[in-house]
This record gives sequence, C-alpha cells and structure tokens, in this order.
Amino acid sequence: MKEAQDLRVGNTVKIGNDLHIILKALYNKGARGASSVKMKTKNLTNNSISETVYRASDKFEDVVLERRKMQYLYETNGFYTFMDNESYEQMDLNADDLGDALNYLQEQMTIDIILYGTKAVGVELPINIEAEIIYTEPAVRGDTSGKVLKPAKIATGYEIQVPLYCNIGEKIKIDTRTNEFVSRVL
Amino acid sequence: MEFKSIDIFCDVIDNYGDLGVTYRFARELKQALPHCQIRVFINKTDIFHVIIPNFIFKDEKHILDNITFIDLTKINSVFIEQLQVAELVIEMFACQIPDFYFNVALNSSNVIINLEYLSAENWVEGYHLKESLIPQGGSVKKFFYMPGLTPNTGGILLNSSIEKVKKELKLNPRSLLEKYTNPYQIDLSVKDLITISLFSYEKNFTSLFQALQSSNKPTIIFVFGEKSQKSIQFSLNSIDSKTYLENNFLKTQNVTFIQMPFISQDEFDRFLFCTHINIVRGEDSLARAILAGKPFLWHAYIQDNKYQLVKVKAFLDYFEQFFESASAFLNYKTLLNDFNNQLVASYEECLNEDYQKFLNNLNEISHATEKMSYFVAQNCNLLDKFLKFLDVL
Repeated sequence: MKEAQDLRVGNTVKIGNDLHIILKALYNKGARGASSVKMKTKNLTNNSISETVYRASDKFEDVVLERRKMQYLYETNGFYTFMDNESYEQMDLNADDLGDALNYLQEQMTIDIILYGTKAVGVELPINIEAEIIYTEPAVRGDTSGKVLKPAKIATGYEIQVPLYCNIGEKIKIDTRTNEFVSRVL
Repeated sequence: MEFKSIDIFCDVIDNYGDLGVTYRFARELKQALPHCQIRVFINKTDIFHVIIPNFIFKDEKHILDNITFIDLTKINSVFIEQLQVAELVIEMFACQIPDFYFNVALNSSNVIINLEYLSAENWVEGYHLKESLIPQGGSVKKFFYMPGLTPNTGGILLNSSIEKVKKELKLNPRSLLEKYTNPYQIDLSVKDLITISLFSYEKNFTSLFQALQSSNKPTIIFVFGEKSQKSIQFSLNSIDSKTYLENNFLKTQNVTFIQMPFISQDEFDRFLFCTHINIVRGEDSLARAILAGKPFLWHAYIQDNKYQLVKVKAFLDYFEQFFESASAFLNYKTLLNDFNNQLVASYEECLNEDYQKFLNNLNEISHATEKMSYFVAQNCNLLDKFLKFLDVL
C-alpha cells in the first residue's frame, strides 16, 4: 500500500474497481502536522479526469502494471491484432483501448501496451513515428500570405500541420506527444 | 440534500482546541438543524471540564445541548452490533474514523466530509469542496471542507449570538471583567487602564512585561490555561512566581496578573470582546480574536523546523489589506514573526520581541482588526456556507 503523500506523477492506483493514473500531485502541510495532497488523475477505464484531494495518510493499493512491446499486425471487424515480439502471443484490442493511438497506427508498428493482469489499460506510441503524406496542397510560388504551415493527411487518414515545402509521397517524422511535424525523413 | 442524522468524529491530539471547535460546531449545527440527530464521537472525554466548567464525563455517553456525546474508548461490542451509521459523517481535522464504523459507512452513509483546520494560506481555496475518491470504493461520497478567511473558502464559525453579545457588551463593557476583578478589589475605572487576555502555549513573556512596566500604565493581564500560567511563572522572578502560583493573583508595579478559572466557551468569547488586547493561541481562539475585532497577537502551534512561520506569514499577508498605515503594519508584522519564532515550545527562550511599537500603534491596529472582523463576519460564515454545500449535494 502507498500513502497519498508518497504518490508521484505516473503512479497508478486502484480506486474502487477503477485504475487511476496520477497526472499531477501537490502536497500541502496543514496545521498540527496534518497534511493533504491534491491530485489530478485520469480514470483508465473511462478516461475521465478528476481533481481530488486526500489526506496525506490515505492509503492506496499500489498497482503494478506490465508494459509489453507488441507489433500491430492487422485489423478485422473493429479489432486490432497485436503480437508480442518475444513470445509471439497475440492480443486483440478495440478502438476504445487504442484511443488516439489510432491516429498513427500502421501495420508492423511496435507500440507499448500497458497491462493490468490480462487487461490492456493503456497504450504508448513511440515518441516519434514516420509516416507518408498521402495528400497535401502544393505550395504556390510567390505566395506572400505569410502562412508557414499547411494541412497534410498521412496514411491513417489523420491530418497534421506541415511546412509548405512538404509534398505528397514524402515521408515525415512526427512527435506523437504533441502531434507536431519534426522533420522530413530523407 | 437533507440529512436526518449527522455523526461527528474528533480525535483530540493535544490541548483543547480540537474539542473546543468540535463542540462549538456541533452546537451551531444543532441550532441550525434542530430536527437532525447529531452524535459526536470523541476519544478524550476527561478534558470536557475545560470547555464546560465543572462537567465530568463519567459514562460512555452524555447528552449536552441535545447532542449525544459518545466516548469512543468505551464503545462495546453491543454498540457495534446495533450500529446505525449517520447519513452525513464528519471527520474533524482529517481524523481517522474507526474501521468498525467506516466499513459500514462505506455503503450506508451518503456523504463523508473532512472538516480541516483553519488556515489563511492561498492553497486552501483550491482544496475547498474538492471530492476525495475513496480507495476502497463504496457508494459514499467524500469531500474536503476547508475553513478560511476569504469568501472562496469554508469560512469560520461565527458565534450565532455574536450581534447580541456585542450589543450587551457595548452597554456595559466592564460588567464581565468586574466578575473576575471584584474579588481582588481592582478598580476598572482608572485612567489609561490596559486590559489583556493571555492564552498561549509555552512562551517567555519577559519582553512583554518589561515593555508594559516601561509604559507605566495600569495593566491587568487575565491569564487563561495552564501553559499560560507556567509561561507567566517562568517570566517573573522567582519570588513573584511563587506568590502568583499560591494565590492565582499577583500585583507588581503597574501590572496585575489574575489567573482565570476554566470558563465556558461562550464566556471566553465574550471576554475577548471586553479586553483591550488579546493574546491567543491555536486556530479556534484565533478565529474568536478575529471576530472580537480587538488588537491581538496570535501564538501559532509550534511545528517542526519553525513551520508555524509559514502559517503566520499567510495570516500577515491576509491581514495587511486591512491596515491604513504601512508603518503600523510593518511593526506588527515584525513583532508577530518574532513572537512566533520558536524552534520548540519553551518557557525559557527569550525572543526579545519589541512590544513597544505594538503598544504605540494600538489605535492603528485596532482599526485594522475592526475592519477584518467586519469583513469576516460578512463574508466568511462557515455554518451558512456549510449548509449551502449540503443543499447542493
């Protein structure tokens, strides 16, 4: 068990039947040594964010999550099949499990799947991924409008902002944390 | 949400403040919700005589002011078997509710509220009324309630009879003090008289006495509580302290000390309205002193590494807005910081505070404390805010 005052950003705790990941934790000393902790947490079951307060001595079940690297194979009827690169064990996740990761998920991509027992409670993309631009408007020579970015669609159908010099067919590197263009892949 | 039953839990750690606030809160709640059953569970009942003079808590429960007070240490298995938890459960000052109660309340009570200690710190507003998800799950909801001195906090307990008390005392300001000075044949009508109530933790008051003696003004110090008594004793020379202890009374040059008996909460509240200066300790007396609107010095509860100075700074940052004179505030700030600059609770350590400037600035400080008192009474009524919160649950 962990006390509220020992919890840090990134820790996962069990509240009722739900897992919550700590997004923010702020500790304040009250009177007579009684202290309290204000936390921002994300419910991993329904993705809701809560701002809550606890006594510093409130106890939480410390949840140990397993992180496995798994390769995305294919999608069938709304289920996305992944394979563990070491054990070759396969696992199906649905769109809700994957959330925003679907914006960048491409076949043979390896991602981290976070498990609580046998249940997937989160996924983590690599910080940077490479994707091909499948559509973007060409830059117009002499365009002095002052725009420096334009929308571009990648193979998954997701759209990001790219510099004007990027063209269809080019591969680009994207920061999946911020959804921002990093560089062209040469 | 309407509640038919409220259980309040209080774990007294030390001193009497926790019990004092709990008793005050329970009484105010009962007055506001007369049809609600209110029980108070308390772990230390042998100190009841401090807030209710001559009352001895003998049995496992007593009914006072239509509130049932229960000695937690005497609860037996029959009580636990027949236990019915309340719809609303209040943890005073983040105390731990006993497991036998909590495990039932988890799915049988509606709401648990942690009513915290008073603080003037900025972070209090951000914690007020925030939900506290219970790790064990259950259907009960829990919230934090943060007393404070701004409209966006939980406020402080006002005496429900505060206006009536003020009117009475305005008509006859000396009547209460005379009750305690008449046995010593002290004339309260003397010119330039200063009256001081003193209720402190362990502290050396040598600097204060020297400043009062230098002023040469007739002064009466009404001393409350054992720690204050011992503080006076240590601060006087050995001859005087013996006399003081024997008679509960001592007259030196121009300063007279009267050791007060235990008086009721209501009487103590009235007392603070009657004296020129109040020296108070802890959170409840601080709240009373603020409401009394007289110049006061606050002795904060001493914490590790002088952490009490953080609390003092927060109070000073808040109090500053009520001052018209920047220099008067600066003098007050210096004194209050020095006054609280104790590493440990000690009678011996002399902090050499400069009380003279405080005494010279009494008028300016009095204006500030009056303004603060009015502001708090208008904007920080804990009971009103608490009841409004219950309504929206």
